[in-house]
Amino acid sequence: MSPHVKHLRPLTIATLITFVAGLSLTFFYAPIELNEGFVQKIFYIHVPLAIVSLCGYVLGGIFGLMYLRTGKRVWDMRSYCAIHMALIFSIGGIVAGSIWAKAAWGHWWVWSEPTLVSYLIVILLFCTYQPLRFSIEDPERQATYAAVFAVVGGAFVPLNFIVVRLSVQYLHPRVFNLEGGNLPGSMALTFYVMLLAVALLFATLMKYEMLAKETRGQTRRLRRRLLGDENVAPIGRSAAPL
Amino acid sequence: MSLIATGTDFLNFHSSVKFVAGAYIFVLAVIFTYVAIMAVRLGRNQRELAELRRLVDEREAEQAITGAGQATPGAEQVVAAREADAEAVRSEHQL
Repeated sequence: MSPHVKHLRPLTIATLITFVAGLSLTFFYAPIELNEGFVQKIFYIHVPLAIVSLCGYVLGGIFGLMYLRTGKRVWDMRSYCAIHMALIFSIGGIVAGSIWAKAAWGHWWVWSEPTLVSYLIVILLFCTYQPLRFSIEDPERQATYAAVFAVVGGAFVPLNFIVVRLSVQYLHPRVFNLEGGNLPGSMALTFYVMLLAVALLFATLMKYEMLAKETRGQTRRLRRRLLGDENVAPIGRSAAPL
Repeated sequence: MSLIATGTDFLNFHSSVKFVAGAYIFVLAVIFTYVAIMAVRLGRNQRELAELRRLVDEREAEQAITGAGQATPGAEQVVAAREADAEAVRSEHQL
């Protein structure tokens, strides 16, 4: 059995339960915030998506580093899937944040806000990951160059985060600080459950993605063995690991 | 100072609902779209596997016809191993 299949069913069930619990807490348990009102509910999905996506980029960098150290293709696959999922989560996070900004600030986007702009820079940086892979035909070189990119990009994420934190002029609300944050208990509980739900969702979808890629590769190899190389169409250029 | 509102008479409550709904619907739509794409890809893989299984069966049938009457030593073990492989593939794809 594939290592990606292991624990996939319990993980899927845990994700569903946690997500439903998180949404229930968001809408039926967490109180309405005094200053922002009902629109603050967006915070419970926007912030976990942003945090998990940034962690996904860092994870992609760590997997890239593992590939460079070991040369095993499975690390390249993990790095690719982590960055792929992080990009999807980033899109969800940035759009949810933009909707919140429109409701809270009256603008969809504020260019003078360092947190927003730096997050956009991170997304745009990782948007070049897939074209980079696609531009390299040789799988070995593709994996190596992509791993180097993932490591550099992954290191850039926390650096970027620290720089933004150090900036003095900002508008964006801070959820966490060195004193442990300023959320009341019920809001904090809801937030952490949603954070866990989004993290589990990331892990589950990443495992499914890896399983799909692995199955496709196995099917292709099986077809090649059955029909012979000359009867199977050659594999075209692909951004995904083969 | 408490961040929790004690009343529900927010003037902007109704206008906020559309923003909150919009944000959650968008995020859920992204997730469901992704899951749907995954399901389509998985379906394609399953169809391809079914085709490969059919090819294997055809090949086995051809071999059975050409080698009729000649018992191959260890043939039962080969069949059992193939069935085990097929079962492993099936259980993998059930997830």
